[in-house]
Amino acid sequence: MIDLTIKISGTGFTKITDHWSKSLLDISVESAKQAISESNISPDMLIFANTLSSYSSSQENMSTIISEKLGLSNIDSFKIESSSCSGAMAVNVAHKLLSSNDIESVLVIGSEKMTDLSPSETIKATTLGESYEYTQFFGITMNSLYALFTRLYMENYNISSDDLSNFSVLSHKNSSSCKHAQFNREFSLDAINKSSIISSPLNMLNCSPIGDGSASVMLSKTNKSNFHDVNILSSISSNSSIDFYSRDNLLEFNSTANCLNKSLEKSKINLNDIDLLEVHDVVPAITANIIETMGFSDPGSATSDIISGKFDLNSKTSLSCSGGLKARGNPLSATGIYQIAEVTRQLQNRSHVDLQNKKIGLCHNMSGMDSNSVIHILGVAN
Amino acid sequence: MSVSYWRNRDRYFRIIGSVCNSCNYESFPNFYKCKKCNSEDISDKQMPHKGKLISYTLSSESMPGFEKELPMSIGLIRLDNNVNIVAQIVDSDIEDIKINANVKAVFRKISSDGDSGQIYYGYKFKIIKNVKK
Repeated sequence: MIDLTIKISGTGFTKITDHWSKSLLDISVESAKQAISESNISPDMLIFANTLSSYSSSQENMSTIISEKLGLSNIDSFKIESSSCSGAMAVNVAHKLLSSNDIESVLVIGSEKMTDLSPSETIKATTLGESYEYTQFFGITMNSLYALFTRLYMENYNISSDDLSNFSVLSHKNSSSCKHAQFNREFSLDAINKSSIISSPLNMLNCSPIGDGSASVMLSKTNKSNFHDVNILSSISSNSSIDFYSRDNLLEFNSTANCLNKSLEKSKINLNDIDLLEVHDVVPAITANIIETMGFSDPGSATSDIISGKFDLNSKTSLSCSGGLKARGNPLSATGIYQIAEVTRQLQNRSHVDLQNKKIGLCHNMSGMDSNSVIHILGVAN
Repeated sequence: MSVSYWRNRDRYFRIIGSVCNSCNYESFPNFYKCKKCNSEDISDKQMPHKGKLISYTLSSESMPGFEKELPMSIGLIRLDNNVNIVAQIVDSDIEDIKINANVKAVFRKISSDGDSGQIYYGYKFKIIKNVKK
């Protein structure tokens, strides 16, 4: 029997889009209210996950401001930042605090406002997690780093850019009926391959989009919601080095590998028990490398596995059922919480797709080029 | 930006990384503790200014202040001491930018604070053709 008792007892999220008429505070309150309402709990602590508020909204101290607007006074509130895995990191910290403290519940809100910035500022915003002195100073963008990695991956395994686009085909297929996703449409392989180049060999429809969004989850020791229990079987984070190009093996994702090993050990779950898989699918070569690092595919074979349908919705292990970073969207610090909220609802059979007999979900959220990663394994109680 | 630029000027001008005085491990950017032997006996060391391209990209999006550089070629370079560095590739024909192309460091303007502000300099790389064996 599962003996870990911390549960996801409430979820909430906004649609990911250009929320020009709403502020960072507006979208945060919107998702938080849903999670509070679902959980029927007033939290003992509020953790805000965010990485851009001072850059895109000229605002810090957001956790206090959000608490006040939610009418939550006299509780602990603070912010967690670890670039694009801030969301899952905040859930990880909440889990650690709940496991070792006398508090009963923590509300975790992840939000990002990306479209208040000009296009070039947005490009800088997505690169803030990389070295200022050796990346940003030289005008090197995050997508350029993804592109350098993509070419290394393609050369190493002799895989074409056109074939890698099959990851994006699947993401868009899965998000087409997902209301909160940024893209509610499918794209053909041909359309993806003909989209304009962002940073060769990466084209636009293979890059995760820019959008505003907020997602919230309530973690608690008791479930007072109207939905059945979703337990956190493990919550693990593990870091690596920041500059991927300085690593001995440029394709090695040590942070993800170490995080997964600890997660499987802690949760006592086997890889082939995983029914729902969310990975940090920011561009196809990164997705492929994560799936191979985790052992869901052999090295160099994730692309052929995607093409053969191994990770389709109706397969044993369904990948990115809401479209993942590519099609649901990637509002940086909110992303990891979207993953957890979506998998929770999928396990409770209340998502946009009919997923029967799915018992275990794994959510992987990472910063940069695997500089830091967080994995949550969630399970429904029998 | 100017203070951090001043602080790093030597690293930007001469490509100064680190060497471990215990095990001779070298890396760029500089480090504080050797990741091979954990020694904290570290010195600055100038990296070789030649190497080979091991990956490259042509970017059509830019950070603020780099609009005039577009499209911008960026290379992942393995220097002659096997240390990797990421840098802009300039003064080179697009068709010559390919895996295993030989490159060398050049000193260039990186960006500036507007039309009348401070100018920032640092390393970029260019392709060298017909290298004598």
